[in-house]
Amino acid sequence: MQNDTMEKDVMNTLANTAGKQSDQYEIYQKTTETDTVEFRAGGFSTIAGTITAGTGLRLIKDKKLGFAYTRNLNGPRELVDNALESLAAEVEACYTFPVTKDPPELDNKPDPSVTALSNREFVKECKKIRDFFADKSDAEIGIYAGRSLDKVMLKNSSGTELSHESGTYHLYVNLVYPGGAVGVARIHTGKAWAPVDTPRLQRLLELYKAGNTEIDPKSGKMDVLFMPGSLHTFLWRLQTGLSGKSLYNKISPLGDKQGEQILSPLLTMYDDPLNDTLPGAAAFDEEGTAKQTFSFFKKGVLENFYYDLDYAAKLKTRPTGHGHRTGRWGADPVTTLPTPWSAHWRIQRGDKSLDEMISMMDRGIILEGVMGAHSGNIPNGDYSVGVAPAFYVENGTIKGRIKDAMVAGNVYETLQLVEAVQDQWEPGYDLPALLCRDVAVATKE
Amino acid sequence: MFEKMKQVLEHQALNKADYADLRYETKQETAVHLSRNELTQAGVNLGDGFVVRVLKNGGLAEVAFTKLQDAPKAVARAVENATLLGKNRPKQIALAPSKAAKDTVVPRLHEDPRRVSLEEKISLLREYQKIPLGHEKIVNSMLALTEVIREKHFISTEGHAVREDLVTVQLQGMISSREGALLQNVRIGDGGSDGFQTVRNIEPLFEEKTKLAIDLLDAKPIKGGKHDVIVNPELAGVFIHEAFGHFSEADIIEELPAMREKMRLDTQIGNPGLSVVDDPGMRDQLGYYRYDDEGTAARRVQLIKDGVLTGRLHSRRTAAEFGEPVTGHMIAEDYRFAPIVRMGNIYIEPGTGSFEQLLEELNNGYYILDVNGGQTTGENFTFGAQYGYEVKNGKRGHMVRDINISGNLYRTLMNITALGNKLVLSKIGGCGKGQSNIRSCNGGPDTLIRNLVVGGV
Repeated sequence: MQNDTMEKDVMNTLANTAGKQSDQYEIYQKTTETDTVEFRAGGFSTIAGTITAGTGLRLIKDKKLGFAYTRNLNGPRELVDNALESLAAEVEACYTFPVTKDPPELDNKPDPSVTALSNREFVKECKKIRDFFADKSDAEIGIYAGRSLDKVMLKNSSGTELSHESGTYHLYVNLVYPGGAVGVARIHTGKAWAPVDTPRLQRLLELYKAGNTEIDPKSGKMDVLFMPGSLHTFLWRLQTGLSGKSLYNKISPLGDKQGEQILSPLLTMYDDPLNDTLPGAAAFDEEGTAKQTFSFFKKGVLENFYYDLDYAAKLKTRPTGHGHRTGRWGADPVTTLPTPWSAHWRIQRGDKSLDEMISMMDRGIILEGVMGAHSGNIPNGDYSVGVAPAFYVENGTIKGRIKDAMVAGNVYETLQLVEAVQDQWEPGYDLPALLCRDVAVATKE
Repeated sequence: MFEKMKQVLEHQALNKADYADLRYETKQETAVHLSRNELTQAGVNLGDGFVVRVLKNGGLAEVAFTKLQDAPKAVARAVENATLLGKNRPKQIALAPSKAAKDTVVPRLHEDPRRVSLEEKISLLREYQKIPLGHEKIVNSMLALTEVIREKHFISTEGHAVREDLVTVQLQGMISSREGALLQNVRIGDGGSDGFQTVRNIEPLFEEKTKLAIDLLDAKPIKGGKHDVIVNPELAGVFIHEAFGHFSEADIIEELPAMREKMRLDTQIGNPGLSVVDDPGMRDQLGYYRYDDEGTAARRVQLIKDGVLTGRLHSRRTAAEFGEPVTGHMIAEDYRFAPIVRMGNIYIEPGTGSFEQLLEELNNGYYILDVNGGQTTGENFTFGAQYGYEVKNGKRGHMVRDINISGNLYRTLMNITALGNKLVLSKIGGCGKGQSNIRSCNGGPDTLIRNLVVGGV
């Protein structure tokens, strides 16, 4: 409690100092504590932790931006001076920090079951999972277990003062085919601690076993069932296409297509930040703009682009609550300036079960995971990814696992050929599987 | 600083530990971002933090922390975690011997970036930007100049006391061309570990990449399938880094029994003409350093000699586990991370063939160039290539685009049948093995690979 009071005093001093030296200021502070336990085939490999804190300061003076950050906010004066110095570069900032009062109340407080989680509990859970698989398969088992406790505080000169605490745990279970280091994996995550249920492990085991036979089908166009673990291939390209930054930089192929049918009518996509039954819910973005449920595509029709403060001002539109201090590979939010990003992208569930979708496939592959989703011409929507792994299906039956194959296309073409959308979201990804027709698959044969 | 650090390691919780070390580092970052003619970020910032590692009863645990006042909590947690790990491992973790170096290493800089004003840096980028933006078909050009100056201090309970500074300069960007609905992007990059001069006078590079972005608008999409290809040095370097190099990092295969068997030393892993080296000691190259983040002096490792696996990259922990000598390859991204085993300067040793001889040997296939992203999962890899040319009867034909290559490491190493005579090493890095390593350098010569899966769009 004493530390909290001291930190508040330092923050107030920082706000006062920054306020006197600039037209506008914004203070972003984040503290994080993490624990991670790693189990690999030979046994427990690593137990690690982090205890980090940091403060980022944005100043606007004469419509120019100053930015500085520090890990140790001992001297607020120094941080303000650093931000003032960077004003000299004359980066334009034609926006006003938002007034955000009373954002929606979300149930985000760390659950006591997560706060109380210890590495001993993770070790116990990892052993339980290992024991489940140990005598049932030859898989090399990898388990990554951990939790994160985060606290974010944001204060600006417009009078906005927001804070957010969260606590989540995760378990990533990977069954690796011996000798290849490629496997099938599932994520178990949540806001209140619950061990992984056995039926879920059983399903993962069955999937693993379906891949014990290796198969080399012929190249060609075929059905591809994109599993949730492969969908970031599409989402990165769509996120790029709908970003206000791409629009401003004239590299979005969707620039003049608002209101047009872009994707299959089976696809409705939206940002769902307020759903606090899932980890990561947020009532405001990382520059204090209130968040909302936000439509990207409705039945395949392009509805909205998304913006942060900066690009909204540049394009003379309203910010949409998508200012995030991140990048495609993640980034340290303390040291990164906000940029437009969609952090809660969802695809509306369809009406087919996974089994029904597989039974609809005459000849095709189930794409569990991909390699190289970040490579190629992303703004244009092109993708060309290696399978990691994929299962070959004929007449609705899984025949075996494919290695050394590539799946390629353009997201805006492939997602017009959607045949079915799964009727539920895969936990951890919170996305459904998509079955697409006529996708190019290049194999060794 | 060393005195303050020693106080942390005097914490009573460490009395019964077998070993502990502490790294403190500052990281000064300068960033200048230019989007078309608009400056979107410019400034200098400083961050700092600590990483403590503890070995106790066969468990090795680490905690990263940013405030000195959190040191007692971090040390106590590391001790607790090491004890927990030791109790739950079938085999105790040990550390191979590492000479307790006491040294200070400051890089040899031809032009110290700290002596170049922010104003001059912005002005330099603006000059470069005029080149792509002077062409009608170029719709955007984004440039980012980044300088990272790390001052690392490392001490251990065995007596290591090493300070090493690393200065990295990188200029990266993307030039976008457009014609109707077709959009093409070309990556551009230069930089290094020996000073600011690496990003001066690179107008020819901007001219070349601008022309490439425009030419790609008329290139044909490559035909997917299995092809013989020549990959240029940039792609060869990324291939050897991604597909093979990560398996020579001992921490990747340490706990994968079947992979350990496949990567047994003295195994014929590649074509007899293939030799691969990792050498962090190559001065002026991007991956240069003297000591790793365990205070171990780095050394050259011959990873493959004439197709036979002859070495691998180690931490003190993996060297003890494999019964092999330490190599000094434990590197952390910065103060937020404990080190992991990483490559320094990895490259395929050049052969004897001229480029024309390679084309003749290829006869029919593709010559593909420059990397556009890459990833490896287990023994399989996928890389995007920026562009290429069809090769017919040993002659270079029309330009192709939308290229990704994929394959199996072991088959591909065997299918490397010819090597060019010129070694080229990369100037910018960005390996993403859990943490980002901007000092990751790779290279090779033009390399002929048979039967590669090429996935066009």
